[in-house]
Amino acid sequence: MTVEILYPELCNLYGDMGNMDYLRQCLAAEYHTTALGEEPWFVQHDVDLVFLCSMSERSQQRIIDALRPYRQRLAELMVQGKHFLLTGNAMEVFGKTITDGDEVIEGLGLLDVTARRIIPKRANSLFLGEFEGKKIVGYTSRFSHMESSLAPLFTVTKGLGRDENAAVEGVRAAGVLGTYLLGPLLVLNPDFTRWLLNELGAQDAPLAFEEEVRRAYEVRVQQFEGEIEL
Amino acid sequence: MKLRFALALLVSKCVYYGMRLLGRRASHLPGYFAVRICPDYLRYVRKAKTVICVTGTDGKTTTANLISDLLTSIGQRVANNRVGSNTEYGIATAMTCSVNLFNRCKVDAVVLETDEHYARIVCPKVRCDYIVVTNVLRDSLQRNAHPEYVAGKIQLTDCPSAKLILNADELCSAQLLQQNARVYYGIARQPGDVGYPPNRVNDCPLCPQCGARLSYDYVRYAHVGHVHCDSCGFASPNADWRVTAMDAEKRTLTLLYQGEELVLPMTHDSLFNIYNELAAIAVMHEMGLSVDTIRTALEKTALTKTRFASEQVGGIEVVNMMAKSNNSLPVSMVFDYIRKKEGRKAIILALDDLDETKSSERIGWIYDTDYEFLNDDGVVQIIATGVRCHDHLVRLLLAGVAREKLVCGENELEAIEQLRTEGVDSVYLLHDMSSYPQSVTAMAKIREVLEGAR
Repeated sequence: MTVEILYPELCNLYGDMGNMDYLRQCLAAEYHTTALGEEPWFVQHDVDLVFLCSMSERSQQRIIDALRPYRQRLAELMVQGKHFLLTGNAMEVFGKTITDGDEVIEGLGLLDVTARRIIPKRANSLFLGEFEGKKIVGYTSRFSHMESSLAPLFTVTKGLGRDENAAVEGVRAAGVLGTYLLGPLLVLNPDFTRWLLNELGAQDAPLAFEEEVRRAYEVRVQQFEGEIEL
Repeated sequence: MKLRFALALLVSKCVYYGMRLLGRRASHLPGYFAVRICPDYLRYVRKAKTVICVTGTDGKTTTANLISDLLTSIGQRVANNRVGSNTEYGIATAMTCSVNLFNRCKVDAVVLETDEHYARIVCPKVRCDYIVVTNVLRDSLQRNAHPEYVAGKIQLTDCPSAKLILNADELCSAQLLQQNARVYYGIARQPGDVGYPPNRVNDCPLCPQCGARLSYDYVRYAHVGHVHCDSCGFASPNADWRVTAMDAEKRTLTLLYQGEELVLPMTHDSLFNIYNELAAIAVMHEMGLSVDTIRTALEKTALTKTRFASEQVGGIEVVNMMAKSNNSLPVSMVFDYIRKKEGRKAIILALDDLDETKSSERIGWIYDTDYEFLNDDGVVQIIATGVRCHDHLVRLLLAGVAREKLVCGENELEAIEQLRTEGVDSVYLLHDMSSYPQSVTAMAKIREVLEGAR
């Protein structure tokens, strides 16, 4: 089992590296970290999961430029059903375009995602939703909204989805899991993490600190289901 | 406009004194009315001889308070916004207090803690002489997103006559507003500095000039230290005020300024606060005050009590420290400070907002915070309490802290009942900015538990 974490020196905002901390505790795998200027591991090797997390808006351009030479390989991996976990605005990097006022930034064009920045406004919200019958909790905090014809990752019960009025959140295309949700998603949502581990073929891998993680999850679900400011 | 301003000043004064009579703090509303009546209110308030704006991510409250206290201790009359709001309205209130009803200035200096988002609005209007930018670091994600965003906001400050007082060791702020004159302060390489960023968070990994990866000459936390770029030759700026030695026992700082070695009192031995003190020293010297006067002021001044207070209870040191939650680096620094202290320590984490239902702040910050620092033999117990105690517990477990050292309970006072009283040399209560009153109650409970065990 191989997991690649892309550009963590830039893509590490909002505590989202906690996803990989948790995955490392749950899943015995080979973890490769790729820095800007290095050739990604996936170019020459097989990978089971590629992780890219939140970054600054300026860094989105840096990451698009860094990954563009490997676009074809990324497309191959996606067709093969390899898993990609894209959190925060990382999903936009794989999309078609990011519009910022009059400027249009070309993404990698690997996902049918078009993003629209709303700077200087910010979209902040708690999130309560569902994934395959299980409750999902998290947060979103971003400078953009998105549209997509792809299947969503989550449905929205409370909070912001793809845009201000969307009833769905994120995208799911074969093994690609894209979400604006911060959390860290995997720590906050033990059922989703269990599902991901199963998807990766690690049905026997126990959830790390399951009792404590579930307790925190239950408390949060209860809070988010109650009267709470979004 | 003058009539409008006069009316705004009159109303602002009336609201201020009215609220004070009612026992209110009057930090926001007097300024609110002033600005609503006269949108350019800040431009019309008669300027004091010296106006200092203190902005940045961390340390602006401490630094602004320290500057105010130092100036007051040497007999200067100072107006400031320390009672509360650091946005335009709070600052307008402070400016109301700086003049009399006839708009004659009645203070020598105005010290304004200024929110990073408001610096571009406030600094030009109040015609500030000095802008202290303590740093631009990762902060509350909900409020401040990321340092590039905050630096971009401060960069919009159009106040060419103001002199900047900047931290040479923190690159995100050191590069700001290149058109302004500037004075840098910094700390030379110290024992304990390392050759790589020691925290989970490093918000300045790339050269600001060419985008290549930076090389670190030394780092003390996050990206704070001295860097250079092998690719284009860029390097951290040289500090005009440079601490060359720190003596925590004697509480002294040895500084180099224009080739002269100076020894000044150290108000606090944490690195964060030494940087804050350096900023205060630099700005006071720029104001024309002599080093001897600054030394006298420092000798008379202690840090504000809400930030740090300690006492002995039954032979155990009990420390009440503010750790600004929702903000990873200051909390990491507090963790680092505690782990480096001698002896066996118990820590009570009371870091959260008081009411989950009224807050939508995120918990992502705890995954940017170095809870790994608490995975230390000297830390014998950690009590996670407050509305997000379960999240802190998970984070501590992920950081490798042994489960048997951990206590988790939402109710702070009940959780404190489980405080270890044997085999502990010191107890640290870490509370959030907004929960100082609750921390006083918690301190009383800690005393009760420790004294009850004697």
